[in-house]
Amino acid sequence: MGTGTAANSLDQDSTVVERCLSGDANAWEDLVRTHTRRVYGLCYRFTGRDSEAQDLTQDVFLRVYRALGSFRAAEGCFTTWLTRLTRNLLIDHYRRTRNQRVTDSIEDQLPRVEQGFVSTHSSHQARPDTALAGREASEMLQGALGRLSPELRETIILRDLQDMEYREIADVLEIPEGTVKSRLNRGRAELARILKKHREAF
Amino acid sequence: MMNCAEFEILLADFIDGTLNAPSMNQPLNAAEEAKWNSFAQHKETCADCAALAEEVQSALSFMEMAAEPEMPQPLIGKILHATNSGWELKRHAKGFRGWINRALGPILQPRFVMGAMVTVMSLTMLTRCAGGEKSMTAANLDPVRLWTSLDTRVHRVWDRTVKGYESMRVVYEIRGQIDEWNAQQAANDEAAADAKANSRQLPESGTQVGTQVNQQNQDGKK
Repeated sequence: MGTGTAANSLDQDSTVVERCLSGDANAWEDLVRTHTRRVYGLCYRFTGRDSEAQDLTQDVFLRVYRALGSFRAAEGCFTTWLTRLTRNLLIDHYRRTRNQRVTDSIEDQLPRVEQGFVSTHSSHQARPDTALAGREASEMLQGALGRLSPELRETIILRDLQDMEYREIADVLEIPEGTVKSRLNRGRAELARILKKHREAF
Repeated sequence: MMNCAEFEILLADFIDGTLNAPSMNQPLNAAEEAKWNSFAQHKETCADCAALAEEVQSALSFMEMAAEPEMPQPLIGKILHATNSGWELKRHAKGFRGWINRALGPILQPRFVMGAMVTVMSLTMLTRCAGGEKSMTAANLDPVRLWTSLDTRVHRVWDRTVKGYESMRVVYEIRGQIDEWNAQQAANDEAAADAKANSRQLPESGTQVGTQVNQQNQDGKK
């Protein structure tokens, strides 16, 4: 990703936000269309459930809609602001649903990983379709991500699945860049161990 | 000598391609070369960190295979629908327009309008209970007076209902009696009409009677 492209995108976002702030409803639609996929991806990777991810994405945009006036372009780019807002909402959601998850995580998360492994193993032999293999790998990754702690999970999602810079991640998570790198390594290693463990089991 | 925590940080740089081994194409300066040497040396001497590096590479390779989750298409429409009033955006507008929108925004909400309507209805009902006087004063809202007025009104309504019910019964009785009389009158008229019609109906029976009389006359002559 070139620096020029990032700067262009940053300028575009700032302009669209400025138009929104002047009461332009079309600009709001542009903003939603540009960022929904990214926010949904973040929510889906964090929760692992489509319906929850959709609800959370809607909540994020409702919150953005109400709080857009508090965005300051001089303090950082819109994407970082939006990601921070999404992340805070996800963490709130995680804390709110913790009790419910404790009861169903063991029964619910493990089969998802196992199911992913079974389908991927069979796909290696029978299905050469790369798109399908990508979807199956995605499901398996989702199951493995669900077994990571929220701190490691969010760092991996932001860096490896959302391609954010270390500085931006450090801004969003409000931790030093060194900690971001350390969490990334631990998260990746943990992820690899989960995947390996299940690969050996099947 | 580098420790494991420092190695972890450099490992992230190595993965991102910002820490590289010196090569013919990419010569390093002294500081970079020293950093690389420490990194490579630690990796060779620390089995745990070597394993960590391998696991990290393995996880990254797997994540590259994974497809991006597919976003449901109606989601954008749902979000736009949920935010279609436009009031919040107008409130962000700068200058006089924004000020007006911010001032009127809380008032021109559907919930507020509903609340205002309910309040007006409640006040209207209260006014009626207080006696329906045109000029309301604070004395009209005295609870004792309100209660007395309400009690009187309830009694009046009850009395009117009872009176109305009883009046309706009398009305139905009278109407029933009139209907009966009308039916009786109609039956009498019909009977009278039949009788009148019978008295004028002579042709066939008259001929027969005449024939019988003629026969009797002839029998008498015999």
